[in-house]
Amino acid sequence: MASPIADLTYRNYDGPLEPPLYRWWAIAKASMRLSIKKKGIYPLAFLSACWYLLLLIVFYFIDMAAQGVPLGQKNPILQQIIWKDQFLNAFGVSQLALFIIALLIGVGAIANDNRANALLVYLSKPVTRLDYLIGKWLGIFVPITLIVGVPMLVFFGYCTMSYQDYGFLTEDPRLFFKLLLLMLVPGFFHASVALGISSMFNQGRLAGAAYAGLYFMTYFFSGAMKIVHIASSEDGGTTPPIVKTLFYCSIDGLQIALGKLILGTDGSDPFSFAQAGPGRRGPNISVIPAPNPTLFIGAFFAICILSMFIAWTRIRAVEVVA
Amino acid sequence: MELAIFSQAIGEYLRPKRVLPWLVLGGICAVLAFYWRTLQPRTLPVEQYATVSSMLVFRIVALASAIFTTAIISQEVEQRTIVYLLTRPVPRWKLILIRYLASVIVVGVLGIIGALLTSLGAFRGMGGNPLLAKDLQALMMGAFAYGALFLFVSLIFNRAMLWCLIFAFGWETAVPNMPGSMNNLSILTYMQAIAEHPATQDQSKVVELAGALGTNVISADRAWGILIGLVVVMLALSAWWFTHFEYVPREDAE
Amino acid sequence: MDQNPSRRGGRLINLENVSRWYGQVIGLNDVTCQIGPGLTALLGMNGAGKSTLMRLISGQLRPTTGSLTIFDMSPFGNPEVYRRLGYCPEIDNFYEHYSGRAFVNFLGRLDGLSKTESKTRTEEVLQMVGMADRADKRIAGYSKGMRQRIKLAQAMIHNPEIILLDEPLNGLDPVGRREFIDILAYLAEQGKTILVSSHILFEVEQMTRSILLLHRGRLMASGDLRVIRSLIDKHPHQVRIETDEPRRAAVLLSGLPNVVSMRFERTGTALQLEVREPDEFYDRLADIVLQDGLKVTGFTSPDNNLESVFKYLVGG
Repeated sequence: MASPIADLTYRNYDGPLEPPLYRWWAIAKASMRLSIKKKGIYPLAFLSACWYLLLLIVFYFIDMAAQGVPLGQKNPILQQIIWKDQFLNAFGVSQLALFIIALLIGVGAIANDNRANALLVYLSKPVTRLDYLIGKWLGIFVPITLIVGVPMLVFFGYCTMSYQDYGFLTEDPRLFFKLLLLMLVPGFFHASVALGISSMFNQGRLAGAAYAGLYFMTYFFSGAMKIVHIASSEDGGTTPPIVKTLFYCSIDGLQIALGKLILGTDGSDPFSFAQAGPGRRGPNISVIPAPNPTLFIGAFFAICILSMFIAWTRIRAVEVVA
Repeated sequence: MELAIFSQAIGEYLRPKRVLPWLVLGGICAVLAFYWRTLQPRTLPVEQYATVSSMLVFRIVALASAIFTTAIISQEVEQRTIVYLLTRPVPRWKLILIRYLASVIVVGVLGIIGALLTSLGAFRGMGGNPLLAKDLQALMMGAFAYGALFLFVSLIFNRAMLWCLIFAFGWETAVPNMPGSMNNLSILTYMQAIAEHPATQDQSKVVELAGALGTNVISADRAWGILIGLVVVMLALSAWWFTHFEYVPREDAE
Repeated sequence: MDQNPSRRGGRLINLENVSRWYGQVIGLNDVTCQIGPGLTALLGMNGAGKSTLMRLISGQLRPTTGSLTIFDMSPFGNPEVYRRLGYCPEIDNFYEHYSGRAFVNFLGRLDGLSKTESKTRTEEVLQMVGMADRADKRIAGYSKGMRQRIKLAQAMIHNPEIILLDEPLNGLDPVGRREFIDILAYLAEQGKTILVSSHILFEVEQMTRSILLLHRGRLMASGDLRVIRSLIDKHPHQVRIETDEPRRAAVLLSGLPNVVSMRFERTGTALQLEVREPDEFYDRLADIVLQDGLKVTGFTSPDNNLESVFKYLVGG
């Protein structure tokens, strides 16, 4: 005869459990699936890679234009290129598109779960807050890193095949490894900061507004510093050191600072190689030298860790009614 | 009834946690204007004010518009409270225009506070700023123009805020510097024409980075006319659109 | 066409061949019905189209085909209709930082009430829904039941002629439900037209016998529950007769043409029958009891209820 008390053995599941690894990976996969369904990221990903495409076109025409160079001699313009600066410029140009991608796939990550009370569901499973956080973080980090990395490595491969004679590999033999490191920067930064901001809201729209406000206001602040720098240069004076530091105090600026530190270059103005002597940079009026490595690497990690800490403290299994 | 809609919208927009970040931004503008002389010792207060104003304060209006204007309808749809508004005996066009007016007033006032604080920082006091009066007019007109445009965008697009931000910072940064007549397609260009900032010395690069400040040849009268025209057209389109189309939270649809 | 609703039997809400599509999905399929004063229940399973119908009537959606009129006007975005219509949505969303009182008062102002009138009516409706003493707290801190009461209050504040309530009993405790049903009965007595959607049949049974039954977007039945039931001839009614002489009862009843089948219960004190044309059967049963002296101690019709009607109609 059936017991009048319902069978509650399901509460004590004693079947095989997946190792903890898969718990955060399940969340990461779900987040990534959601991201790749957003059509908006594809044109933005293309935009973020546009600079590489532009460089390829320019290099092609430079090659074409130098058909008259005698045999055995090298193309004088290609000889003037500082290769790692091209990666740095492309990295700088892609920042806005990457930020918008982060807005699309990142800022709603926790806020939308808050709104839908999905956190209650996640945390009612054998999923820890850390699993959840790592899963969400990877869900942003992996797509952004791929969007940064794929065109970067394709361009690297193309240049390796085409421009070895122009010092592409010899200019900096460790360039490949530096690029591998560089491609992690935007994903790492946006995933951390977006999650931190996202956790503070229960509407993706408001989290997006907060992140966008932070981005654009620091962007224009950074722009103001650049103006000061250019104005000082045009006047023939020197830029105060504080201006050079403050220039990097934006979301873009911080990442570009890290780019310069990783690649070991101060950078150069786009296409300034056309005006430079062999192996030298062009006029580079707007270039601000690489900043203090300790300060900016420290700031980068401090911001990321602080953001993740905020997210960690805000992830709670409570019903959100607002 | 109209007053109730207006005061509810104003109340929503002026909640402390919404306004505080903007006041902080205004404070940053003031601090920047104050220290600009340290960064660029040879500039005059009026140049310090003009640079910070066009670099940051004019952008605050664009950003605030993108955020507050999308709250007029998108936020109501998102938080699903739109149903309470749409099942009341208020014509839809009236509802949207009153809420638009509330958002424009809040955005305009935030811009004006930013300009006043910047002036305070640059001139070390409230007097002596010959640009301020026209700047305030430009900011208010900018709030109306951005608001009207973004309102329409928010009615026809999902993720309206993203599109508005791309317009406010991508389009509005790039287009004023484009050759030919392309800069006529930017609201910022007309705001600057109304503000009539003098060209700052001969720093062409600076001018370019600031968004064609002082270099456009559009007269203030023409700028007023075009922006007012834009506002009228966009509001008419928005009112028509909102009256004729359904606004039901999508996830509710069976 | 007669323009005066009162001359058309007081039907305030008229739907004629109304369909509503969401892209490729049909939400409501060729529905024709009229709804008049009193309490009408809109029944159906999840996804049957109840909320779609509610949104069409409340003018949030337009029909894809067909015509829908309220007071002979199209409701979509029509302030004239909203002046006389109150809507209590299914969603559980509010301006969370408002107090319940401020929320209801604000919506009263939007309904066109003057400041003082709105205040007075706010107190009245809050009193009516039992929230007058708790309405000063922020809505964010309200329980589900309190939220439902506030939603009902805002729908009634302008004293509308038509009140639409989308799943209003969700989340209410049994006492709250009883109170809610009493309020609806009171409003119906006042001559209001009330349309309540629900998928919980026993609750609806307590409220009204007038139903609209939707299934997969189609209107399966509309009208009085008993009439609907009696019209379903292909499904015989079950009748349970309690008597000390079940075998004698079986002999007497087996001769009746309406009886389709009969079965004895194990207890030996009751007989279960399946009958057609139940009204006729009941008349004959009365005759047997009087003429043959059959002692009947109890008499029930276990499937003469909403659930069985629902099962019959939707094949559940």
